[in-house]
Amino acid sequence: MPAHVGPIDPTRPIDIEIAGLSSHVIAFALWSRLPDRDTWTVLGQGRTGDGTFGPHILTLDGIPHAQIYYWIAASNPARPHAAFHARVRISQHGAVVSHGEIDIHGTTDAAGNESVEEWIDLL
Amino acid sequence: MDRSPLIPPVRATLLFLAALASGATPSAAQDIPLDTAELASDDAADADSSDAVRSVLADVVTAYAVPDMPAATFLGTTPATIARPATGRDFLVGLASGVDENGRARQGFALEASPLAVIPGLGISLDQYRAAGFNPRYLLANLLLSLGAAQAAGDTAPTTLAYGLRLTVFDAGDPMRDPEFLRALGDSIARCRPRTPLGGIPHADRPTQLTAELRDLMDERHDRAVRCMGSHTRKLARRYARAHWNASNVTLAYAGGERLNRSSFAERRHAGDRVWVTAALRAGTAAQAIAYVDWSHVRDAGIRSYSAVTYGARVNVGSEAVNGFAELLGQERFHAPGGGGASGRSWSAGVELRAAMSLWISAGLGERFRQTARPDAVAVIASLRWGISLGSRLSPGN
Repeated sequence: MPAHVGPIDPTRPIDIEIAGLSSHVIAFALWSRLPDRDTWTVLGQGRTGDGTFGPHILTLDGIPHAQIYYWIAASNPARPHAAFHARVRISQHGAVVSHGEIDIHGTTDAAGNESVEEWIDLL
Repeated sequence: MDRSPLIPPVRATLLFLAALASGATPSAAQDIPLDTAELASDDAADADSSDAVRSVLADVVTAYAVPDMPAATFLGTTPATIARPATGRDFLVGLASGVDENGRARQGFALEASPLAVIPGLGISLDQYRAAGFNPRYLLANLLLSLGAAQAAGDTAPTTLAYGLRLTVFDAGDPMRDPEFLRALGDSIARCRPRTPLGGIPHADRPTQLTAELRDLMDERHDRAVRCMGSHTRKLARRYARAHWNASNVTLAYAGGERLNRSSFAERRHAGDRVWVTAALRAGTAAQAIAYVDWSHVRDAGIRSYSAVTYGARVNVGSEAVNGFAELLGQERFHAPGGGGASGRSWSAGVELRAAMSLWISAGLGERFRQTARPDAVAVIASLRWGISLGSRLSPGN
């Protein structure tokens, strides 16, 4: 089920932070869609885990009823069948928006991989 | 299923080696049966017990790796299914499955768990895992607990409940601490991202129920992405394992057991303990020295109690696919049946060729080869012998 996050303050941009919280390499891609539009726009993509940067933060205009679509992949080939944990945190002006902390849990397969595809409705 | 494809150069040399290997040994890939499967029956005669011990000594040692699942090795069994809970709830369900409706231990039960996965709040991030210096979180992440139950042959034989732990203390070949590997892994799985979101996603201001067709499509995309990731990570893992075949590492394990009369937890007595330690030291790019010690204490109705120390030292020179090796293996047994102790020692040297993932062809000279040599024999050792297999950490064949 998609997460419903908000209410969003339309006067401020929103920050979207992606972080891996388990010992997995995380790769991600995010898209956004404005209300009344059918097309998605690439918001950003990247990966964590090589130690050269911390959590990723992307920015989007604060528009109620906009949507964020995410694909998050987790991999640890040394640890098959393991639980992974990633987090998408949506905040405005330094404060987490109501219901804006979305924990993504799953269990990797025999090769140590799993991916999650879902979307977020901004209210 | 592992496909174990033959490596191209191996295919070409296989026939030649098979002809050459009249002195090669068909080493069984079994651990020493210092355990309940061989020695559990209370009713067995002393002679049976002595035979069992003699057979153990004759085998001396064929596997010199810290077991993946110490509890199962203690029991001398290969569980058909192993519960591997990834959450605390699954762990409790798994534990409960080891007890039948009458509160007795269930036969064939096997469970393996990482405390990190099953204890809420213990999760660690990749950065914490990779922290340099003494790192308790690294130790915790590499701790595996195992439980198992098995009954020796015979309706009246007691059940043995075994418990064990396995701990990687140090591993210079751990890919998840290697920044280059992590960068490559991140890049490779990122290639599997979808190009666009799925069509037909309901708008936020017009919430509608997601159709079953859309859910099916999402499932298909998920499966495709995970397959793609598997293909990339397997290649990376193979490459990494080949480059780090001789990495230094230290691993230890412990297993103990309780004999449960009529499978009842109330009627139990200690069945024994076993400790394994292996240490490998990398020497340059083409050599590795390995030491192995395995201490066992088996207790079974007093008369068949004994302790044993199995040890080995080995030097490998070569590559991940072809090794020259020299090894010394031995076992000292104390308080063996019939009184006194017993010992066995052997040496061997030769060449091993990796025919496929975790499959080795071995030819050489020495006690081990002489004892078991048969004409036209080609040794296929289907185990993580000495713990140096490519599969030891990365399981790229999975």
